[in-house]
Amino acid sequence: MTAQALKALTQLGNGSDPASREVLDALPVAVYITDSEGRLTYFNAAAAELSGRSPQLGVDQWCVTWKIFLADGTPLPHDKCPMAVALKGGEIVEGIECLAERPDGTRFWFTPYPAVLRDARGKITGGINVLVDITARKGAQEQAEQAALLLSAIVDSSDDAIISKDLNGTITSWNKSAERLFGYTAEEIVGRPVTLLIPPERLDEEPRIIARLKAGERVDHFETIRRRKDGKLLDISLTISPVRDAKGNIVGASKIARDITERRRAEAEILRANRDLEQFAFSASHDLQEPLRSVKIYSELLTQRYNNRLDGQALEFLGYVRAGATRMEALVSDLLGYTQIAKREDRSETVDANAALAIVLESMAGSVSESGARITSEPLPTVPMHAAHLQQLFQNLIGNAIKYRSRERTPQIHIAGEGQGEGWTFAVTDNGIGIAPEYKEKVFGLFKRLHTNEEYSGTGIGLAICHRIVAEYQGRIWVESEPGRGSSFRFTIPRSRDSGG
Amino acid sequence: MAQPFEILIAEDNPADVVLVREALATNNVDCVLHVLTDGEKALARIDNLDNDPNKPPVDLLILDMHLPKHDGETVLKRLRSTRHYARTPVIVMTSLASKWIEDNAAKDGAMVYCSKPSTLDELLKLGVVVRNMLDQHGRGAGNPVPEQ
Repeated sequence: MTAQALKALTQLGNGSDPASREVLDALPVAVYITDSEGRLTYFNAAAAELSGRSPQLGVDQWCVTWKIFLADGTPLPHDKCPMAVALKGGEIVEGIECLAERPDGTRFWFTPYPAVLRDARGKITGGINVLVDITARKGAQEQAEQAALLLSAIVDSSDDAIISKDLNGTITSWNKSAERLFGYTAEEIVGRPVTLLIPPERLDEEPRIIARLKAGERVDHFETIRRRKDGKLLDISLTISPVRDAKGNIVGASKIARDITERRRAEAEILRANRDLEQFAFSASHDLQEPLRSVKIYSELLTQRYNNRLDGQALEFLGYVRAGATRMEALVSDLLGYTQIAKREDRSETVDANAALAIVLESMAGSVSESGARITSEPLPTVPMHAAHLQQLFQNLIGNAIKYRSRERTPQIHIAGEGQGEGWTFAVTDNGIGIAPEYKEKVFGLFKRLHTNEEYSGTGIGLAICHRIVAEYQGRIWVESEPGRGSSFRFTIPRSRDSGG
Repeated sequence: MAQPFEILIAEDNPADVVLVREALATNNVDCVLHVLTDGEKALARIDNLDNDPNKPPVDLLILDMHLPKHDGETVLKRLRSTRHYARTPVIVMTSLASKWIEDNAAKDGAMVYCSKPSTLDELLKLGVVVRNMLDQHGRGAGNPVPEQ
């Protein structure tokens, strides 16, 4: 309420003339007038509505309201209210926030704007008070305060370090987990540059992060290393979002830092365990070859040298020994191949899938013509793969398509491949015996077989090798099939993702 | 009648020693086969031979690379560093060629690799390799002349 408005109100006099009454009655704010003793001589409709009562004129003193409290909740006697203070010649207090209670028990917040009325000689003749209802504003303010409290409680109880900084890289807030994680207290670090946390060799990350933030971009799960107060390095994952002011300008950033040291350690352990297992599988399959060689050659020697001296059953048994050895040899050799799927070292390597397919079809010419299979293909893309890997995929999938052909029709095998935004998809489709739905996942497991050796020979490693190769590229392999009609083996090779930012 | 060939075989697996005997027999190689069942015994035999004033002849060493105690590479190095037997022909039985073997193959005495046989065909082949080695390099070619 401006001083000018109040002055205008006081000039309306004590409200006794009808013209000024009309004005006051129409005002949408609560107004009341008292005599010099503070007894109410007038109140407008808004005052009655706000206070929830109709005071008795000439009897009720000092205020139109029923009960008043200070902002902290202590009751304020009516004769100590700002109107009373003003009328008693004291200071005129403006702009304080008071709480009032209506007779029905409901409460409201208001700010009184009292003024004294004087006659020509300056003697106090009465007072006029305007009560501005601020309940709505107080409510909003309280909600905002509660929301802020709740938010800060959440921020403080988070296991992640939550930090904010301005666009100069100066730290502006620092939660409890940030204290735990980095070892600095909020008092120590707020106002200091965020580069304190960055190891010297990674200082170039900060300008790149700031540039991305200024462009309105969010930095998601950027895995990097930061430094504690005690100098210890931490593996952390950072998510940084731009913070905008009310006008939408980017003024800073909020940063969530998660300690991934433990996760990194666990990952390294899994990697090591995997390598040990691979090494074990390699050694086992390699070393198994030696005793197997003895079994093979001696059973062959027995068969050749003692053919005349062994009876039919002995020769039959010997045949089983030899068949077992031959099968084991295939298993051991495929297993060795499985363990030796090379890790890609050169990630820039690409292969023309048409050329890879041509090489594979040439090497398989014998079994293709023997089976009478008709093989067709579409123009294929060039993909970022190790050539031997793609060839192995084609060879195993086409080999399977030939092996599991239907005896009732000419085998037809079609190879397709296409590039999309996310990467490439290949399909090797046949019209063979197909795979029942319950085995669609299982077929990619090591040593998983659906047929006896008499029906279809195999080691159960071919598709496991395919699975492993595709996994090396973070791709996916699956089969779509209608039993009795055919199968379509599909795999994807994703575009390699950019790391971090 | 010619003296039988003197052949050392360093091999720990009796089944493979028998295969070598088979290979020699099928190729009618008249020989005395001295079997050394680990690397330590092979090294001791090489040292004893080198120190023997009679310089007993050795026409061929058949060497398994994976021997207990000392591996085939150590045995081969010791042989090549002797005063009198450095030029003895060697057949290395292994499927894995090592860099060291390649580097040292032709330096001194003759050397060939032969993978251990896993089929009858390969067994015959081993016999042929031994036969050729003895024909080209055996009997005196790599042997020291006795003193006196």
